Amino acid sequence: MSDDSLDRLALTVPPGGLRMPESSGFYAYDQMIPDLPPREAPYLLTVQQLVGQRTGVEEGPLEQRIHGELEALETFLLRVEGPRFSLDPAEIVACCPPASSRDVADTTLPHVTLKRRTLPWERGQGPEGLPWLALLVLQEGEAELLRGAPLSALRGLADIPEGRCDQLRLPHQRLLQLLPTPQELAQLCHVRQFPLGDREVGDDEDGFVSLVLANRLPAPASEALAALVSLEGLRGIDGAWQADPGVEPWGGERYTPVVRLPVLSHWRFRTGAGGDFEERMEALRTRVAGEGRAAGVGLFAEESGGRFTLERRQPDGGASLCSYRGPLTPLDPAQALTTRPAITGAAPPIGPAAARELGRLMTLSKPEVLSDLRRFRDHQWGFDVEVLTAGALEAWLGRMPEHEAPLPGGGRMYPDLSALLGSDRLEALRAPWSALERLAAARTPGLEALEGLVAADGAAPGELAPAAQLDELHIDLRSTSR
Amino acid sequence: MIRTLIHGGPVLPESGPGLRRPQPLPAGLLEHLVRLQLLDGLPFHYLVPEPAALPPESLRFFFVDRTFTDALIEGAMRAGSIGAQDEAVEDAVMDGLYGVKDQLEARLRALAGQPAPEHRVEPLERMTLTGLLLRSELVRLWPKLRVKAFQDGEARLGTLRIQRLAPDLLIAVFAGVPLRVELVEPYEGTRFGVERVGDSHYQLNPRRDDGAQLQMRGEAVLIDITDFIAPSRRVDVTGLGGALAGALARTSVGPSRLALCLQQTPFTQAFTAGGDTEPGGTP
Repeated sequence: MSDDSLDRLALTVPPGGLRMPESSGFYAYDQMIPDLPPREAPYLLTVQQLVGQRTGVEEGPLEQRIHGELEALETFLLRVEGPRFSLDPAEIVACCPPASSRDVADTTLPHVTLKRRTLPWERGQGPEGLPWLALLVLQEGEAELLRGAPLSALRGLADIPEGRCDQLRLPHQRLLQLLPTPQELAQLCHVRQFPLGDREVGDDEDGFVSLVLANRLPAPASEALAALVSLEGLRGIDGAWQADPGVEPWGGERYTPVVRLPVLSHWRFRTGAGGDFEERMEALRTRVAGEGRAAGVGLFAEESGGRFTLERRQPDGGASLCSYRGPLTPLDPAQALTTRPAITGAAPPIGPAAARELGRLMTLSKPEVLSDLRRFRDHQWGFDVEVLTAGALEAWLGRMPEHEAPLPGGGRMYPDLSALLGSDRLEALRAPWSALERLAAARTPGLEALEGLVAADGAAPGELAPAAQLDELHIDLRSTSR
Repeated sequence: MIRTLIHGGPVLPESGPGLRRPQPLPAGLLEHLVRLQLLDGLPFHYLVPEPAALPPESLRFFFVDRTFTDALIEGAMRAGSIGAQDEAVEDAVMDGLYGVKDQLEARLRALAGQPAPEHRVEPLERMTLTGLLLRSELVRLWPKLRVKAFQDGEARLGTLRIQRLAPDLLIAVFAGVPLRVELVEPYEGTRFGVERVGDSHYQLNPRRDDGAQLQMRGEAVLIDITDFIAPSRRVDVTGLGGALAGALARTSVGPSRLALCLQQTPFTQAFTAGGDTEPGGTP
């Protein structure tokens, strides 16, 4: 999925019935009422067979279309189950704002996305099939969340089994203030169909999800509780909400009409005070830059041309001023030559020197890079590391005390060389080293002698390069001293 | 003496620096130099020596001073240098065709999506590097904030680096001089909500069935919905639906259309050359 596809939005209302949406959109449906909603009482399922002749009637019940005798073959009891007092977490695709999130914009309308497209209507109420789920947003102290309270404490519900569930306990009057009206509740639930595999539905097998929106914005800079509650049994004969409150203590009052609602899912989040992305960006954009462009939008260090006068500590504890210009500058390099201010003698510039030292230190701190650098230098020089590693030779030389180091030309092998390098490497090392020994013994400075020796040794000059880096001055001195 | 003999002085002519084409930099070394070039890993006070240069809730655009980064690269190439031979190599390979700086430039171009020709007769012209520093709660709250730079129209500039340096600090480096930079709110799933105007007013931009925002003469149609939000912040959904239906010239809006109008899309803030800014909607 390309990065830009993140900006896609929607297609709504599928033309011509159900079909899979294109990869860049989704279809939206006002509701999806199940044909056979879940209920406590079982359904009676009868299998019948009708054998006969067509009557010529093309529409209507089977008995009108076929003339014959209807024979009942078998009868089943069918129980359709569905969530009622709790919800499997796997049924929840997403909730927004995410649980435990902080600094949520207080202009966000919370919602929950459910895996089953029919879930909000499965225990529908009234002839119009109103949803039975509502997402309430509650501020601190407005309601009490009871974890694992007995189902028997719920009132106004038929066929309550034994068991426990999470419940929301709040004053009856407050519930009526917060609940969406039945008409509003119908507006707060809908269904969306996404392409299979879309990030909005994850691994959902059919791409359909149902969404339940809250009807309340969270208060700014506060803790909020989002609770998906069941409104089953709450609707009265007149169509309005008609709870059956119990009289319980609440907020210091002994007798308060209090309602308990089953909570199928809940999560908490905290809002911030600075608004959403747009508001914060707007504040940044329009911030009036104070003295010296204290905030808002501008060029980096525009007033000083990118230069800073800093205090430089001296080794003796003293301090002096210096001018530092770092890698960030407000000046276009194409124009910098004509606009860059002259360097004054009072504050010497330290930018390039600081950069050079910083680059060196940052490289030294990375052994693998340093190794690469070493390899690059050697390779650039034509140093065949497979024949002779500078490190090994360096180590060997470092282990030889200067006064004990045998002078080259003695024709003998150094006793600790094989122990240090191993026999294989020693063999590889021997040829160039012997050439060097003979060079030293020849007492002849200069490249001509070296090339002669190399040729006599049968090795190509390139292979001997590391060992044949002559210090003419050294050989001169050596010749003189002998 | 032996040490001096091994490491000293002049070299065989055929292996001497300056006579060979500079060798390709090992990949690890090249990436290290690229990171230095993009100021990655530099102590922050080398970038911003004084906190006042980047106060809270500020956005600063900058050019990258290539003389500074050249010094960084030179310093890096001198690391562990132990003799005249190393220095001779370093001096010889820094500049020129296929030199260290040339290879680095080629790598930067590749990262920017503008690969340099493999065979060339002159060193690459050095491109101008620019960028921005954003110090804001925006970075902390939207860590996946996206930054896009445009050269001209919709032609994108390569973003060579975008990184959070601290919870509230973001740096981006571009390959070239952008004429427009966009800061785009990251997509974080479906969101619903309203837009606040000022301290206590709210508005919505209705959407058509295809999701496009309703416009009139090129301007977004915004309806004031303040009256539908009670002091308790409870939303009068019925009233809101009626207002949206009126704006969309419909008798009513169903749940799916209502949700579509409430759906929030990632916001884009554009900054254009010359200091103008353009708030945007859907990018």
